[in-house]
Parts: sequence; C-alpha cells; structure tokens
Amino acid sequence: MNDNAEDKNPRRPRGKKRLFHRRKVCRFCVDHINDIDYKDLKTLRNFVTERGKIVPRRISGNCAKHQRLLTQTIMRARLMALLPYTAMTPSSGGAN
Amino acid sequence: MHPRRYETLILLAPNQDSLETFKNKVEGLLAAGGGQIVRFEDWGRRRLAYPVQKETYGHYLLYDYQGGPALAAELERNLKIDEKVFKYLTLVLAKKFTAEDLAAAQEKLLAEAARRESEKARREEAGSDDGGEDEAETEAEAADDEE
Repeated sequence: MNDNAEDKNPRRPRGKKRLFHRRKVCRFCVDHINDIDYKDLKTLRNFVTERGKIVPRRISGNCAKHQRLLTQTIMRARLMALLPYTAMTPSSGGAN
Repeated sequence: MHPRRYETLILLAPNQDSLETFKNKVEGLLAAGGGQIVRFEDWGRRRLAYPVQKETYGHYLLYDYQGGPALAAELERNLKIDEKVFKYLTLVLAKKFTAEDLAAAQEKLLAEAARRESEKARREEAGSDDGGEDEAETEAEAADDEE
C-alpha cells in the first residue's frame, strides 16, 4: 500500500520517467493457457492481493484478454467461497 | 441436440451425516436424466473464504458429467430445494460431448490417475528415506538435550 503511494507522487513532477521499467509479459500468453479454472486456487492466488482484491493489469502485466478471463474466473471462485470477496475481520482471520 | 459436458460444484453444510444419501440422490438424478458421470471428486471439509449461512466450513462435491440441458436444469432445481446445499455452480465444459468424447475423456482421466499414482509411489519411496533421516536427527537432538 505504501509503495503505491510513493509510486504515484514522484511521478507527478513533469515527465520524469521511471528509471527502470521491466517489460511485463502476460503469464497466460507465455504458457498458452486459454481457459483458467476457477478451482485452480494456486494460480488465482497469484492475482489477488492479501485483501482479496484482484490485482490490476498494470501491476500483473496480463493482457486484456486474459485479465478479463481471470476476473471472471476469480468472481466464480468468490461465488463458491473459494476466494474471499474481501479480507475478513481479524478475529475470523479467514483471508488465507 | 447434442449432449453437453457439465461440471457442477456443490457446497454442502459441513456436517456429513447424510452425505451418502445426498451422493446417492445426485447420482440417481443424473442416471435418471440419462447422464453419465465423467468424474466425481469429494473435496471433503474445507475452510470457506467467508462464512456462508454462519458456517466457516463447508463440504465440497464436484460432479463432471455428460447430459442434456434439461438434466442440468433438473439437477439445479433439486439442489435449490435441498436445504443442505449452500451454494452450487454449474459450468458448461463442452457444448458438444458425444459418446466418443466421453470415452476419450474417461480414458484421459484414467491415464492421469495412473500417472499420479506412480508419481505418488515414487515420492513415497523418496519420502520414506527422508523420514528415516529425520528420525535419526531427532534422536540425536534428544541425546544432546540429555547431555
């Protein structure tokens, strides 16, 4: 979370590009995966934050097609209580 | 109308008293509707990502079957009635799933199961060796403690 805030602010002063930017490649394109299984939690966990939010494309580097697919898949997993919609309250601690 | 391949994941209440009857009921429904079970998985009791009907655990069953749309609808109708069913999700895996596809899918599953078995056996062999070492270590540690 903090990283994000720091990331945004220094970018404001005009056009100073980030010093290094790693070219991100869509993982699903690389592996030629065209259907993501909502039961495959190992994979899905990689694209969900600790709070249970879906990691945005600009972070994960997914292509548009696979991000759409992934979003739908994560929503299915959420529906079946395999993934959380949101982080639990600390007492129940069911986030992971 | 081509038969399709469906996959239904069912989330049940965690207490398993009537699990067998439930399984029999579903299997009976599928058989009555002319369906063929391709794969069945019992995931057992699992922790839910969030409480459902105030329960933190649930029992998951996965049915992968061949059948027409009417069969899937009938199954869903019955799941809706059953109070033990918290949630369910049906997906169409293939819109055209003929008897040949069914045989091929089953063969593939069998082959996969066999491969997993052999892998497991291999791992167990390796694992038993590791286990022996671990025991030796703990014994050595215990000896150290005594000193």
